[in-house]
Amino acid sequence: MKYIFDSVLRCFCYPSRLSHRTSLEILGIGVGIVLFYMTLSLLPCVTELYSSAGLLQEAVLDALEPNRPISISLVQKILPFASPQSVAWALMGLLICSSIRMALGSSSVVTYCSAWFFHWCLKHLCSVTNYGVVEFVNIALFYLAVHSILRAFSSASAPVIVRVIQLHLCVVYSTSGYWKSQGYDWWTGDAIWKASNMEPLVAFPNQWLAWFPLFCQIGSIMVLVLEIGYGAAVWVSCLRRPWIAAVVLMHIGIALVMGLHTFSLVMILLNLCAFIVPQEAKRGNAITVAYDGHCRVCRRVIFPLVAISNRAVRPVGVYEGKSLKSWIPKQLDTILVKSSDGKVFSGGEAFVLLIAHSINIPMLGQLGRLPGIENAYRAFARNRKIFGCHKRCAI
Amino acid sequence: MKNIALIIFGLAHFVLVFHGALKSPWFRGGGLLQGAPRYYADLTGADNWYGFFSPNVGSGSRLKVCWTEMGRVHTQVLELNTHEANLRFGTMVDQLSNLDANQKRNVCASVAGYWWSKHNDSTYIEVIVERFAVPSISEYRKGTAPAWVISYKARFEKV
Repeated sequence: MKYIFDSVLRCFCYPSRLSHRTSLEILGIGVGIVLFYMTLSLLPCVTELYSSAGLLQEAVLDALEPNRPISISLVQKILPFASPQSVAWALMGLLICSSIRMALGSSSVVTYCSAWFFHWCLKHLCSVTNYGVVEFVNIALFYLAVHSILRAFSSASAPVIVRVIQLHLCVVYSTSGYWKSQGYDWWTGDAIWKASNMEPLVAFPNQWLAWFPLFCQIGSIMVLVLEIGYGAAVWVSCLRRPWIAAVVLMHIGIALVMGLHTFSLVMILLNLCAFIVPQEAKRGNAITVAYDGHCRVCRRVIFPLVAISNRAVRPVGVYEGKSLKSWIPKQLDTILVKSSDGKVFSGGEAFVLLIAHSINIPMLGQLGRLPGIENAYRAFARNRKIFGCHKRCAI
Repeated sequence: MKNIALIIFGLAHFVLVFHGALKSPWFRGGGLLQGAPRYYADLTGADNWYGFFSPNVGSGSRLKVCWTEMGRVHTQVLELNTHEANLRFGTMVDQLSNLDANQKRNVCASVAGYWWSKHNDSTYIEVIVERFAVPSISEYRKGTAPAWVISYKARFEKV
């Protein structure tokens, strides 16, 4: 099963070692395709939804959202010759152009920033019609736009943006699960039953579910566990892939049963690009950490870091003064870290580098050079017995 | 230094996202101190609280229009041409239940005005908001069927 899952992901997402930058590029292309499809789907209804001659007149929209940052009347004040309909049509046209550029792989500042701005304008043109996909496309476009601007200034832009997307997704799922858990329906199974029969959303009625109440209840509680646990599970290497796979399956279910295709597609894209693609990239830049295998404190500190690192840290325990690697001395008196480019670090600097790689922000390793880090490490090492180190400890 | 600035930016943004998800009052205030994060959060999408289908799954809604034409009464469920447009229109109809009576009437008046532009011979237009009431599993098994229930009705006549 694991092999099948791996193969499918490999085929679609990451044929080889990919970097964080590639992960954002894949996100850009995916969001571009979704945005293009979404805008194209709205074209036949531009007048009804986004024009003052449509279903919701400007005065009503202003009353529903008093401090709208953008409205057709505001655009008309700037461009007096533009008719209400032409404003909406022009916006759709510009959004289509930007989305086509994104879908074709353009990752320039102009492409991402224009797509973000035009989508944001469309979002506020008739905000009462916005649902999940609008918010998530806006979020994805913001991160892509920021990355496109910052990458000119810093090579670390992609890893930081990917990390913030990961944290953002953790907040999204965990809080969504928390808010759901406040409702009675999610514990009795009625939530799945009602969502599966909610007209006019559902493509087909699912009233047969009423004869399997236990199935509905287990399904509802599984959704809660999946969402609330997301924030923690994705940081545990052995749980990350199955958890993301389960979330992807949940979104496929939402798309098929409730017809929220674009929403599900954006969420699947965000999940894969935030967690699965960078995971592959990390394996190429793994560091090796050498520690005293006898030392209980070393094991207690290093094992959890290795566990959360998701194979970005390879541990090498040194036992009884024997060393199998040429760069590790037989008498190990400090923690050692060897980076992927062959440099060996020791002491406080090595420890900070280890933490930085474990949490997937390698550049944080530079903090190890700060004054005081080495002294703090030495002070900890001197008092290691307080933390449970036994007499044979070599460090 | 650039990298540290980048990390600080990322962390600050994450703090806003976290506050948004917890329905923080930060994003509701005015003035520069609260207004600036509010506008930033709106631009970046950090002001969402992600309460999809919570605390309970609500009801789907639809909008029906009744009008007279050539002396005959017509009724039609208002639907747009594409699935995506219908989802958005449905979101708007769902939100009607959260509005006060005056706002509801204004929205229905706006819809009626749009409908009159298509059927200007009509003497009156009635806008009906219906919600699809799905009973609980146990109620359904006892015989209560899901049904469309009228939740709001507004009538507009030509003067």
